[in-house]
Amino acid sequence: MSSFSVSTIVALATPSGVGGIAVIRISGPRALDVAASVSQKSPADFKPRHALFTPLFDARGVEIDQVVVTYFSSPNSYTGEHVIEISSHGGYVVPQRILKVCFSLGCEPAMPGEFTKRAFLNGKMDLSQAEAVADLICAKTDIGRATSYKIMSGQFTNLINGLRQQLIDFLSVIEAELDFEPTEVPALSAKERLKCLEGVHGTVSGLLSTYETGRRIIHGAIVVIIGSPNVGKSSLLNAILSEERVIVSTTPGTTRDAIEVQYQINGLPVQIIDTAGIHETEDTIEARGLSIARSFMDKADLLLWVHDNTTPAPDFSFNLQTSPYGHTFIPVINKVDLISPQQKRLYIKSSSHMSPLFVSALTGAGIADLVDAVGNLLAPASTDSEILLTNARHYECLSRCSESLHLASAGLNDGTPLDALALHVRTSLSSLDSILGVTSSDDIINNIFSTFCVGK
Amino acid sequence: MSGYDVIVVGGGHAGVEAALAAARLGCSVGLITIDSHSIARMSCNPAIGGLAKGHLVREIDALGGFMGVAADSTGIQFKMLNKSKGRAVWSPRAQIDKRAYEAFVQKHLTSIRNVDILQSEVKDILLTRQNVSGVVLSSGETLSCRSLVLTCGTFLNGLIHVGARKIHAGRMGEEASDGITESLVSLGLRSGRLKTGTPPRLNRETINWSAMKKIYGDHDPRPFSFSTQTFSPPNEPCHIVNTHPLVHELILNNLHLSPIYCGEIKGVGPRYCPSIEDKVVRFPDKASHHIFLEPEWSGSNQIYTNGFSTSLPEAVQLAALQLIPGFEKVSFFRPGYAIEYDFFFPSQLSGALQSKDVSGLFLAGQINGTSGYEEAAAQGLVAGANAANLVLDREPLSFSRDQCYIGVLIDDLVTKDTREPYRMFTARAEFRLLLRHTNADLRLSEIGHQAGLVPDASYELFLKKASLLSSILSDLSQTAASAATTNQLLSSVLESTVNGSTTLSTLLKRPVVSLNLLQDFGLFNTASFPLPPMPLQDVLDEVETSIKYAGYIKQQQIQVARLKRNDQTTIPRSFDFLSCRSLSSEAREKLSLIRPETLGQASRISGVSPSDVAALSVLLVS
Repeated sequence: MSSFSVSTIVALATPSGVGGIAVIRISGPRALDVAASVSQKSPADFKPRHALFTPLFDARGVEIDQVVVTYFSSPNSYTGEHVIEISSHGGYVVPQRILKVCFSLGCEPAMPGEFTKRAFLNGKMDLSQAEAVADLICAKTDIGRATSYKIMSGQFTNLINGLRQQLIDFLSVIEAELDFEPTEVPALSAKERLKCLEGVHGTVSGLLSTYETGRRIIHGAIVVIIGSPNVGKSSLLNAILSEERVIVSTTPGTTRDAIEVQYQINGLPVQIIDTAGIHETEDTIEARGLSIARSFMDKADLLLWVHDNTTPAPDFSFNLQTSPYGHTFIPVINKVDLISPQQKRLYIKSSSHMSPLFVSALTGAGIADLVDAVGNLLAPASTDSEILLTNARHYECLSRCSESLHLASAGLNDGTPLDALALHVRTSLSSLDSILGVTSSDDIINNIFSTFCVGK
Repeated sequence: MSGYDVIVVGGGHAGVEAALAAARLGCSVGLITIDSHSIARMSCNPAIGGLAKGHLVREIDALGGFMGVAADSTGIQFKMLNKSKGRAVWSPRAQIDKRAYEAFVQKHLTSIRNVDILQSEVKDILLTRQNVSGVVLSSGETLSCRSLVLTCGTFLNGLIHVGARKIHAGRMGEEASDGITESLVSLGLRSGRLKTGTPPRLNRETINWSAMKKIYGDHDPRPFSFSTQTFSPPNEPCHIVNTHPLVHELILNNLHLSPIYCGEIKGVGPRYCPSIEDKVVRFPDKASHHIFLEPEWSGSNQIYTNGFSTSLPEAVQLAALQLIPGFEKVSFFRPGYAIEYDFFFPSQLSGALQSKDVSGLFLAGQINGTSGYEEAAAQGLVAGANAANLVLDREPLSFSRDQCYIGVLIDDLVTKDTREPYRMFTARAEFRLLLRHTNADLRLSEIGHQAGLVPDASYELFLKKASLLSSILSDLSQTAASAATTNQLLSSVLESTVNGSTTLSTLLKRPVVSLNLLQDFGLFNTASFPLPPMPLQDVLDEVETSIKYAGYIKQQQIQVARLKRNDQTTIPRSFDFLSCRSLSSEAREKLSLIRPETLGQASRISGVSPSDVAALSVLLVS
């Protein structure tokens, strides 16, 4: 590796600011020389995967700090290159001084994500793992951390590789049938073929169905509160947050702008948006607020559609169909403290889509149930072992894979010739390949030779 | 110093096509061979074509090559393989009369005015400033040339193994060639060692034929060549026998005598053509392996045992064969043997099959690590044409992977550095559905004619065929059949019926509906079209395929378009891969070794990942 003109990079790996410890990471062919130089030691003093307690010196030989230096030798390191990690005292000054010395010794500042990029380029992780590193670092909640960790640690890769292997095995049989005479290779029965394709397809469909949840866990969900003026949308938001976050009044149209609040529900980052009440208005500021409300609705993962008992029972099914924003929504009936049982029955009857939830923003009744319902709709509880799809690119690739697998399975029954069937399976395999950033074109032929006795 | 525009070294299938192609382009050609009587010899099996190889023969023919014509004239049994498996993989194959084939090709070659056949051996290559300028013969004589095509087959430092016996030879009974490897290595080319094998040849009289099952060819044989007009070849049978566990046991007990298993052979052999020892070792669960008995020529006394390639000692080979019913008293003319030979890593060549380092040096055939007559002939044609193009100062001829199997073959060679003898498979062609044996001429005749390889007469015949094809297609899409006739036809093949009238091309989309069926119901008649003088079946197959496969063909064309951009992005010859930091270290190493000519080639080098390709494409733009 050192024969190539690879630079040695350095960066502060911990956030800058006051803290007990800062970690400075150096990666590249000269990492060890730099460590030896700043500690006035010989490279031989550093043993791989051992921590060394040492003073550190600047270019003029002045002692900067006492630090712990850990050496990871290539290829057994995060980047696959020689890596040095210096744990110094934290704060603004010490790490900056150390970085400065490293620069003076020829290290280059690492670009954002460059350590991970090098790890990827040196084959330490595949594309999907590298993508998950960024998600892991940016995770806002513990569930987010756990979800991206599963991908980064290779569980997702293993799953995709397992599917690839099944398709490669399947294709090997098909390709062997196409490229060798029938006396040489066993053919799969139609039933065996279907079973294999449907097995892979089932797993792919399962993964695809986790995407909405996975995406929300990593990138957060948007919940928009809508309804007619003065039904208590802002009061409901305050009740959910248990604080006076939004100004409320009995005057309809108090909320003119949309108000965004960050919140966590069941470990899910949720952005709750309170909007202006929807009605015909001639007030231009309020009208602007309404158009903002509509644009938020377009981005929403979930709408809380608030009514109060003063309006007649709304026809939810009708509204759902004509709504230009055909989203999942929860009908919320506010001011339950003022509702008669008779009225309640009427509301339930009128809602063919989903049972409305009865709350009182004033007393807090029903709010906990509403929060639970929101959590369950946005991110249904998943088992610990389940892998959630979080990345839009992976979703795209798997969707294409699923499409081709569908064509292949259908082709088993409609007289699709074997060479055309192989096309569909190959297309689905290459969709899986692109998730990991690999190609498997040579694997098929190699697999044929390792499996069958072919050749006269 | 006397000389030629183009010198071809070697008279095998690559050498023959190379000499003919260069001569067709108007160059003076000297073909140097150790033994002029062995020109176009089929040194292994007596057959041409087969799965994927049949496609190659048709493509060679469409580009003006000679292999298809020769096979049509000397074949003794023709068969279309894979008839039940999808139209893109139908492949023609023929048993050939080896003696007639050699004689036919030799006669043709000697009739070409600007080709000289020289019986001699090349010992050294002459260079003037990294340009080939001539060769030195074993006699000491030198011959000048502008381009040199090396097609030395298995002859470079050839070493035959039969048990522990080792013979320096190019083929059994023919001298090996030395000197060329050494002179290429001194020019900086990297060489490696491969192994291949051939089975014993049995004496027909010593076989009890009544114990054997006969296999015939097709009753409606189809020629390889697009220009073969009348065609009624013989249909001589092959026979099939099976090995059994006692045979396998005997082989296993003598495994230590096989040079492959005792480590005597260092070269890597082909996995797709395993020796019988390999088969019994690697697949111990198989109780029986087929052996096909093929006559080496018409009425031949010499029988080729396809499937029993071996390098065991003669006595063991014979003892194993004699355990098989029908072979109790068998004797052979020649034992099976393995041969090791030098090859040159083909990634050192451009897509035109010219050395990237030595201008005017072209390599084709087994010297590039391939196996098979058809693979060799295809490369010979391209190398010969480009050797001439260099002399004539014309653009080189090269093919893409979506154009033909020849393009796949050469692209694989120059990007993959084969580690075992390379054989063509349809699985190697990712655009397989576009590359059918029936449309080889539609894909290539135009290119071949423009390049000067396809004579005007053949090209005119092709144009007639192409116009017949398009008028049939447009007729089928415009002619509608009444609901009554349509439903009568559909019920006859147990298909679901229709309500209104339907065009004939819509009907043909159904898997069971064929042009023959339409003809039976009076809906289609070839006689209503002007027919060129050629067998019609190719045209009719192609008509059906382009209708039935329309959807898949479109899908593949989209895939081609997506990859086309990479293949059209050229990489400057001086590009410094080593200094590209955004490439992985493995990619940097591989790319700087192979020096791909295009981004497409780079993407197909093993160890170069899709993200390397993305990074490279950014670097190439900036």
